[in-house]
Order: sequence, then C-alpha cells, then structure tokens
Amino acid sequence: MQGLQRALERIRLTEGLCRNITLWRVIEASPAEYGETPSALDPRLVKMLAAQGIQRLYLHQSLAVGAILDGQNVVVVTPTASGKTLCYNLPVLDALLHDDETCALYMFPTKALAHDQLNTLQASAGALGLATPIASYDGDTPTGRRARVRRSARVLLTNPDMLHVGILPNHARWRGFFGKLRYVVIDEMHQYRGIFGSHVANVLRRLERICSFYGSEPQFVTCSATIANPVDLAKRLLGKPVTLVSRNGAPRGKRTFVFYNPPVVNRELGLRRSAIVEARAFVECLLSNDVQTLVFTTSRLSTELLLAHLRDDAQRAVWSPQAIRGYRGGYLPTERRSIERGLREGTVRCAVATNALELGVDIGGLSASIMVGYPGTIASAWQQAGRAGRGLDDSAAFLVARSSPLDQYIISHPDYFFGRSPEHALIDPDNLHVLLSHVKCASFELPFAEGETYGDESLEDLLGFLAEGRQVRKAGSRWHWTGEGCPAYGTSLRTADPVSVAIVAQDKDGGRRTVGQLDRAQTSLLLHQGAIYLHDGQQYLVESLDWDAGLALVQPVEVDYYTRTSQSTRIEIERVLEETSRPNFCVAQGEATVTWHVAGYRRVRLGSGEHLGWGEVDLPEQQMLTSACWITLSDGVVERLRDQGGWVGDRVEDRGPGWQRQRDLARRRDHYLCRWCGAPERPGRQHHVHHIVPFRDFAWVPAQNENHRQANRLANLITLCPNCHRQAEQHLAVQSTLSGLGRVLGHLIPLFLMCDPRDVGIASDVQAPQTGSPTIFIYDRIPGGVGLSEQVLSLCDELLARAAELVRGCQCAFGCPSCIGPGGESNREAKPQVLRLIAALRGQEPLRCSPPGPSSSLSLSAPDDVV
Amino acid sequence: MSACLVALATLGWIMDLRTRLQRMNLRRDAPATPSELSPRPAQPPLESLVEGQWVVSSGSRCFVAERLYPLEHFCGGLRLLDLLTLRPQEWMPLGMSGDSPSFDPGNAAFIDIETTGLARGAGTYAFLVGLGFFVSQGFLVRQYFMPDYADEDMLLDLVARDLAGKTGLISFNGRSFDWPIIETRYVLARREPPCRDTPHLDLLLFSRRLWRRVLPSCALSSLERSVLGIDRDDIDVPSYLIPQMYQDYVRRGLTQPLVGVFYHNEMDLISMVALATWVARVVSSPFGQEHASLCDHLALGRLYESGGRTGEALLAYQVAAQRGRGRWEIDAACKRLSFLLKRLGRYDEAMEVWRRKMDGAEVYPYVELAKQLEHRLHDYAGARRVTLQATDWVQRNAGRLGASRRRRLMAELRHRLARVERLMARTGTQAETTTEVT
Repeated sequence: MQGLQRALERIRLTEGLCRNITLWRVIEASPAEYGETPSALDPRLVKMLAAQGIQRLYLHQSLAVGAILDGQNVVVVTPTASGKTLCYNLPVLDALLHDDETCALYMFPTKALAHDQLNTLQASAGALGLATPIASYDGDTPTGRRARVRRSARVLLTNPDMLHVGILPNHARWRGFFGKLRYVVIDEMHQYRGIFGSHVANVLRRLERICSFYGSEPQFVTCSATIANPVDLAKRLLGKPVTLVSRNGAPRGKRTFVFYNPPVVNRELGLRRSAIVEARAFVECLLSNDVQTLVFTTSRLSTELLLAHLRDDAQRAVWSPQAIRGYRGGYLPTERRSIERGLREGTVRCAVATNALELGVDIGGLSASIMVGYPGTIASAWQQAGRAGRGLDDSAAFLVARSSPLDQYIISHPDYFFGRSPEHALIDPDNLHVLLSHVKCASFELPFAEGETYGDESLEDLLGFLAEGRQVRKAGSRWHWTGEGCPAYGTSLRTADPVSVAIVAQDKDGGRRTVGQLDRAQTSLLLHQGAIYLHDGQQYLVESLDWDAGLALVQPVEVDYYTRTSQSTRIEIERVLEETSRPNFCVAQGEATVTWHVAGYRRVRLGSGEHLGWGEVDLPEQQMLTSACWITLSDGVVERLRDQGGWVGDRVEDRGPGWQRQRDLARRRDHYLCRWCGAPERPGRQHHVHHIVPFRDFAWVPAQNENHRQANRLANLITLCPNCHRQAEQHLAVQSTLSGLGRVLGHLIPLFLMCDPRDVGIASDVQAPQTGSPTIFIYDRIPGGVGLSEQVLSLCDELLARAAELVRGCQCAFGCPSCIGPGGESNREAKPQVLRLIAALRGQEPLRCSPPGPSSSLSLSAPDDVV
Repeated sequence: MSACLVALATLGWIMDLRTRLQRMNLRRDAPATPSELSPRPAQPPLESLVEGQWVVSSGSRCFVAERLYPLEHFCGGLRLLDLLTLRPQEWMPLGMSGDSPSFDPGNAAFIDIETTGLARGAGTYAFLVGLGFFVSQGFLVRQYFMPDYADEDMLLDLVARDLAGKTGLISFNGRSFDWPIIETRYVLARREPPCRDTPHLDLLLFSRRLWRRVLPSCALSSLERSVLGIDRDDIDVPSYLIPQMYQDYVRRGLTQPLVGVFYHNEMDLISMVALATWVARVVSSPFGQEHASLCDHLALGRLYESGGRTGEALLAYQVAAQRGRGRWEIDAACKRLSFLLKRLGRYDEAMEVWRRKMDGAEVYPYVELAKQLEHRLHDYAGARRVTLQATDWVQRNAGRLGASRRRRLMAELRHRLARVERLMARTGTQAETTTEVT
C-alpha cells in the first residue's frame, strides 16, 4: 500500500517525531500455513466453504476442528483476525447437519459480540439450507420473544450474566435445550479472569450440573487471546483437561510497529508530554496520505478530547469532518452500526475509539492503528494492534506512551510485548465468597443430594453453614433451598461480596442510573465522600456514601484532579500455605486478615501531582480475609544494608512557617516526656519532636501549597528523646525504602497478572511483630482472593529483577509516582536505596545508580527533627 | 502514606472451613425473628385445626383437606351454579389468547398454589396445591399439603391423579406463576407434567383487559371488594407472609398459622368461580343495566374486535363514543370505531367519524380523509384541502408533538401534497380557494 509507505517515510523523516521513537520494528509478511480438512467433516460444509472462497483450512482451524470432532475439549489461542470463528462454527454446523435437534450454547462477554456472531452463524446455516432456529438471548431480547426462544432455539448466543440469572434458575423451561446440549462455545476466554472469571467458572459448574440432570454432557470449545497460561485458565474455568491449539496458520502482511515515548517535561515528577497531543501528529501524517486509521484511547474523556483536536485539524486539512468519528460506550447502537459500516466501506477514514471496538465487531481491514496509552494488558494491546491489517495487506501499529508506570515499562521493555506473553489470567473458583454464592444458586436450581460434590471445598460444610443461616434445609437425603427469593438475583458476577455497594449517578435533570457496583472491600478506598471515581473513562464525584444501604451517589464531573486515600492497614497472617527461603529473604503465601481504616484523602492534580487539599472521611474500620504473599528480609540482608549505609535517613531542613510553635505545643502536650521511654527532658537539652507520617510525604512546596499545615498538625507529632528518635528515624528510613519497593512491585504486578492495579494491595512494615524483620505484604484486595498473590510467590524473583530495571530505567530525578513514589529534593538517596535493597535481596553487588545532581552524604546521627 | 502495623498470628495454624466461613464476615440472609427466639407454644396437630387427613405411602406423607360447597352456595351475590348456566363459547374465547378452544367449566379444574417463595424458578416449591371442581353434588375444594420438602413426590402424585382427564384449567395469574411452577416441580421430580396442551383460562389477564381502566387494581383481593363485594374472615393471611409461615411449620412445627393459609387458598378458589361468572356475564350482556358500572365499553369493544365479533365490537365502541368517561375515552373509542368501519368497508360511516374528529388531539382524521378522497373518490382538490388542513394542524400542535415526530409528519404531508398536486395537474383539476398555508 503506497499511502502507508509514504506516511511511514514521512514519520521517519520528521525530526520532532523521529527523536522520540524508541522502537521501529518490521515484522515481515508470513504466508498461510494450511492443514488437512478433517475427513470427518460433512462434505456439505466443505462445499459451503468452497462457495465462500475457502479451499483449504488454515493449520489451526484444521487442528481445532479435528480435535473437536474427535470429542476433545479444546482451547484455541491465535491472534485477532485469524479466523477463529470457523474453528467452532464448523463442528457446530456439522452436528446440526447430522441431527437437527442438537443444541449449542455460545457465550460471549458482551451483547454486541453475540449479535455480531449471530449474523455470521445465521448466514452459514442459511447457506447450508438449515432451518435450525438460532437466537440470541440477553437483556435486549424483547419479553414477547423470550418464550419462543426458550421453546425453539437450538443454537443460543448469550452472555454469562444471562446464563446465571435468567436461564439456569429457570432451567425447567429450557429442558428441551439442555437435554440436547452438545457444544458449549466460550469465546474471549481471557476476559474471564479475576473475580469475574471465578464467578463464570461457577456458572459453568452449575451449567454442567443442570446438563447432567437432563442427561447431556456437552463438549467445550474455548478461544482466547494470547496469554501465558491459556491451558491452566481453561482447566480452572471448565474444571476439566483441554487440548491446546495454538499453531496459527493464518497469513499476515508486513507489519510495522512503532513505539513512541513523548519527551519529558518535568524531570522531578517524571512527567511527559501528553500522549493525546502527540498522537495528533501521527494521525495527521496517516490521514494526509489517505491511510485509514483507528485510534484507541483508554477512556471516554480522552476519546472526546482527541476527537475535538482532530476535528480542528480536519478543518485545516479540509478533510470531511464526517470522515473522523468517535466510537465508545454510550453511543447509540444505530450510531455505532453506522460508524462500523462507514469503516467497512471506507467513508470513515479515522475512528477514535475506546476498547468498545476492540472486541470482535467487524469493521473490515484498516491500515493503521494507534494506541494512545497502553491499554492495560498485553492481550488487549495485541487485539488493538491486530485491528489493522487484515489478510496480506501491509499495516502499521503505533503505541504512544503516557507517563504512567506500566506505559513506561512497556515502552522501554518492548520484549515484553513481542516475546512470549508474561500475562497470567488467574481465577479462583473456590474463593469462599464466590463459592458460597453459587452453592446457594445451585441448590435453588436443584437440591443437592447427599454425597454430591461441588468445587474443591467440602460441600457438606458449606451446606451446613447455609443451613445454620436457614437458607437450606436437609430433608430426607437432599438439601433444599429455603431462603427468600432466587439467590442468583442477589449475586453479581462482578463482585466477591454478595453485599456490594451500588454506584448511582444523579444526572443534572434529576434522573438516576446505576453506573456500577463495587465490593465493600474497595468502597472505602474509592467511594468515600469527596472521592473522584473513574468509571469507563468518566469522572464522577462521590456526593454521599450510605454504608448501610450500600448506596453511593455520584455525579458526573470533569475535574483536573484525582483523589488518594490515606489509610492505616493491619495485616494478620491466618495460615501459611507455602513458604520458600532464598539466601536473603523468605517469601510465603497464605491467608491473611487485612484490617484497614480510611481516615482522609488528598486531592492531587492530574499531571503535575500537586497536592490541592485534604479531606476527612468518617468510615468504619473494615476487615477481610483474603490471600496474601509476603517477603521478609533476612537478618543478614538487614545487616549488610546497614553496613553499606543503605538505611539512611533523609533530612528536611525547613518545616515551614510556624514549625517552632507547633513543636513547642507538642512538647508541652507531652509534658516534656519522651512518649516511648518516658524520659524527661534534661536541663538545656530539649527532646525531639517527630512526625508520625513523614513530613516529606505531604509534599510541601514553599509558596505553592499549604501542606506543611497538615504535616505539622499536633496529631501528627510526637515527642521523643534523642535516643528513641534515632530508632524511630531509622525505622522510617527503612520504611520508606520498603514502601518504595512495594510501590514498584505494585506497578509491575498488573503486567504479569492481568489485573487492575487496584485489585492488589501493598503494605510494608519495618518490624513485623513476630519475626521482627522488615516485611512487604502483597494481598488480593478482593475478599477471599482470586489467586493473584498466590502467583506472586512463583513470580517473586522475576518481579525483583523487573523492579530493578524499572527503577533504574525511570528518568525521574529522585523518585516519582511512576517508580518508587515521589521523593523530591529532600530525599535524594531514595532511588539508590531501593536499588541497593533489591540488589541485596537478589544477592547481587549493589549496582551503581547515579542520580543527577550532587549525591548527598547524610549521616546516621541526624540532628533534631529528622523525619 | 500507609502506616502499617502487622500482627503475625501463629504461623502454620490451619483454620478449618467452618471457621473460615465464619470469619468471612458474611451477612446471614435470614436473621432470627423475635417469634423464633420466643419459646414455642404447644402446637395442636394440623388435623385438629384443618379438616382433613394424612395420606401416607412408603414413608412419604401428604395432608389432604376436602370441603364440598353446595351448588347454591352464594359468593359475591351469585350462586356457584350460575357459572354452569352460561355457554362457555360465548365468553371464554374472549379471555384466552389465539386459538385456544373454549371448555366446559363443569369439567375443568380451578387451581391455586401456595409457594415457599415468591420468585419463579426451579427453587420455589408449591407446598400447598388447591384444586376445585364441579361435581354432581356441588363444588369440591381439595387441598394437598406437603409437610416437608422430602414429601413432594406424594403431593405431585395425588395432584396428577386429580388433574387427569380435566379438559381445562382456570386460575388467577396462573399462566405466569402457578402453572409454570407446577410444571417445573414435575420436571424436577422427573415426572411428566399433567394437563399438557390443556387450555388454560387466566382470570387475571381477563380481568385486566376488562377493568384495567375502571378499577384501581386488578389484584384478587381488590376485585373481591370492588366486583364481587365480599370480605374475607379475619383468619385470612396476606400472601407475602405465607412463605415464612411454611418455614415456621417445617422448622418449628407451628401449625396455628397454617389455618389461615388453608383458608386463604380455599377462598381464592371460591372467588375464582364467582369472578369467572362475573366476567362471563359482563361480556355476555354488555349493554344491560345490572352491571353498568363495571362495563368499560372501550375495553369490551377491543375484546370483541380481537375475538372477531365485529358486530358487538361496533356496538360497544359506539356506546363508548357516546357515553365515554371523559374526552380521552371518547376520542379513543371514535378512533377504534372509525378504523373498524374502514376495515369492514363501511367507508362513508368511517369518513363521517373522521370529519367529526377533525381539529381534535390527533392528526389521523385528516390523513385518513385525505387517503379516501385521493384514492377512492379521486377528489384531488378535496384531498389537497384536507392535507393543507393537516399541515395547519401540525403547526398549531407543534409543541405537543416533539421535534422529530413533527418533522416526520411534515415530511409525509409534504410528500402527499406534492403527489396530489401532480395528480391535479395531470387531470386538470382546479385548486379550491382556501387559505393557503405555508
């Protein structure tokens, strides 16, 4: 394609762009690899394929169809646009040709995807002369049509929620369907991870239970984007072994990948120029060479922002404004269809989309895709990049990085993107919260019989527990549901805790709509009054939180700040499941009770990280039992770091105006006694006054903010004698190094575990009471856990290695939100200290890291008021 | 800014599942009610409170209560017997959808169930199934009660025997609640559901079609008061309490509250007979005086029309168009009347109605008149005039229509106008002199 080559050439020659390109990789075209058409396949299907211009099947299609016809449960893992649909449609159609009473169930994560596939499938069935009723059944199905679908549908396309709440509890009305169910097709399997995946695994357990009641035993076919553990995930999701098909035979055109890292504008904070602004230049280049382009952003807001910019550009470049369209959730279905059509027909030259377009929806082959910001997982990034370049055409994919830690990591470590996927999709179908919810649902659907099993925990105990709550009753040899109503209605597949908080938006016109649901475990962190809650790219201000009613009222807003809570966390280890020792540390995994209390929150300006203010909240202390992993430093490593001067306290000279007065007030309040050892002040030698939360954490900048007031509150001050203060201060130095490393680990974990950063909690303690050693805790911020921290145990060495890379690679001066957290001038040693800690843990000699500027030499015996 | 305190519990101590479940801090869905905490008073056995007997077979038990009402029993001012005097084919098809055949209530089963929960779905049990039939000596109410979940099989067996050979089912809200639950119970018990393909008359649906606009509520209790004029005894219990009463019986042996449950179920069945009679009477003699207050002639007209009884439908619409309660009803009746006339080919009468309804709340009289003038009477000048009047109407009512509907209407009208004017030009018709509307 000439236009694309011209555009790429221009980008390469544009000085301002070229300078910041960190990667330019060309993947040469690869020819198709074909496989045998399985001999068991009905000749009518072969004929139908020929009529569609398909003479031979690609290798993966042939392998998958063969294995499925052979009766195996199969997981197909191939890239976007490789013809995955045929892998499952052929066996299903084959079965329908032989027995028109055969039934198949297709499960898609979204309604849009189901509707898209419905058309494909109906067309194929039509071409074969099959009159089989094929229908979708979801929230959009009109009530009047539902009864007919229940009675007649042989192939049903639905989603997990509908199966969970609409179909399974009413299975008797679907008895004809379940009795003849032959295939269950699960597409986009990698979407079923975390708490959602854990629920879906249970919905499938229930499905199998119902099928076996009606005497059928369906075969499963699943498809997934590339992840590190497709077989494991499928095994856990389906509860049975699967055959992997991953040898992609689809041909690929030449593809050019370009990674672009916007220039740094603020070294202290590690801030870069806005990715949205930078992306414009690429769009301009591509469109002016008539290259049809798809732009992916990570939020609705940035979609609209970029769209506005591009419309401006369009006016100048005299492109038709209709040639540039937005595409995101919230657009009307008809509008979406028209944009999809425009893209297919070529009238729309550029679409700016959120990941709403990422999944399956057919828009034909475009020539270029631009990701404005890393979409969060590598699997998603490949799906987005894969939207460009259908068939053998040349294509290009661009990644424009933002300042966020993950973006920066990916852009500076392209091997993660191009190499074997490091991403593990994790679920825990036996998470007790999830399991218990589904035991209820299952007992509603069919009474449990004595000796029956469900999941890996003791069903007898679970039912016994429910019986105590009078939700089931054992009569004769069976357990019957006796609770109120249908338990599936009260079980959301998106939260662990059955008692979740509903997020309800109040629009200007007074209308109310439910935006989402959140586990109670995350509520106090994200939905406290005054918080800015981000959902689907839209900012909402939390106006009130009614804890008992489980209702958070929010209002859509557009503000330039975010909120961060400050909380105290207490972790109590309940049981150790696995423990391994390394020379310098010990890492263990198990269950822990996490107790946290949110006392207040800060408003932080987006971009600059400037502190705008402080708010207090009044929420009850919360507790959850979850899975956790913890890294405990050995005594040796602590010693060594001490010798190397690794635990250096940082000093801050200026405490802001009014400090002397606050200091005196604190001493007077404490009766001039050390609050730790009780020693009185000696004549002529004042005790020290110590900040409980370090002064520097408040990020006071003279003449810019008033944060010193918060830091110097009496509640944050404590009088200590010089001796005790030295200990306290050493603790703090260690604490800040530990929490710096914790923070880095928190950035990296989503890269390996495909989770949202907020699903993982990190806490650290200088002296865990029992071991007395410095410890970093990583826990699932999901009640009961979904296996995230479990996986950290085996990934620990890898994570530490990557952590060192990340800190070393970060271009900030003294630590920034993208690496170890903001340090600022006051602690120039923070980055080297974290690096020394990592090196010590990995048993390596400390690597030199030279931060810009003169290195500070701080002594251990700090003067008064070291924080 | 996280101040973290860590308390390590005893390492290696393994909690058992029960302890972990308790630690999960889960809200129990069913907290103990005060009555459950209070000591249980001595309970008389069920058979001493409700007339009936236990049927026991192979370890499974079912309590069967029976009561025979004489045919002359009065309920809601009517005798039970009255229902049998009405010819089913004259009223029943109007209450059932599509091609369901009518059936003889004398050989049908009235059915009403009480359930363990209010949700539909596989986990809701019918613990009490009440059936009513006409027998030679009267109306027999038979109630089957399962004392525990494990005894369901016996209940299903007895109910199936009673239902065998019945040619119809009559219920109140049974089409969407009672009967799907009954069917589900049989499926779950791996038995063939009884009464397959048996026609089913749901009196709730029928009542709604008849009285939705004239009565504040079509719940059975409210129909009893407003249509049948009956009040129940104090021992009656509200439906929503019934699931809890069953739990109290099963778990704690409380028999006393069940008396109200049996009574409630029995009264539902008796009321159904009376209600069916009322419904039948209203639709059989809609123009009589004795139940004028219950006749919504617009609703009746629609019932007749959908039942293919056009003569009665026309009559009913005419009554509604003259005596309708308020402007809205009169307008609606005229509209339906005019379209029915049009469908029957009585165009002149239809046009008469449209002329009368011009300058009303809707645009259709203009459009329909214009169609008639243009296509049937070839009066293009007349059609043009009426179309212009229509555009005038749209502009006068612009505020009420909403922008998109207004645009659509205007586009349609302009299209019609252009066509009519083309036809006028072709046929050399002169425009009438009217006020031109832009």
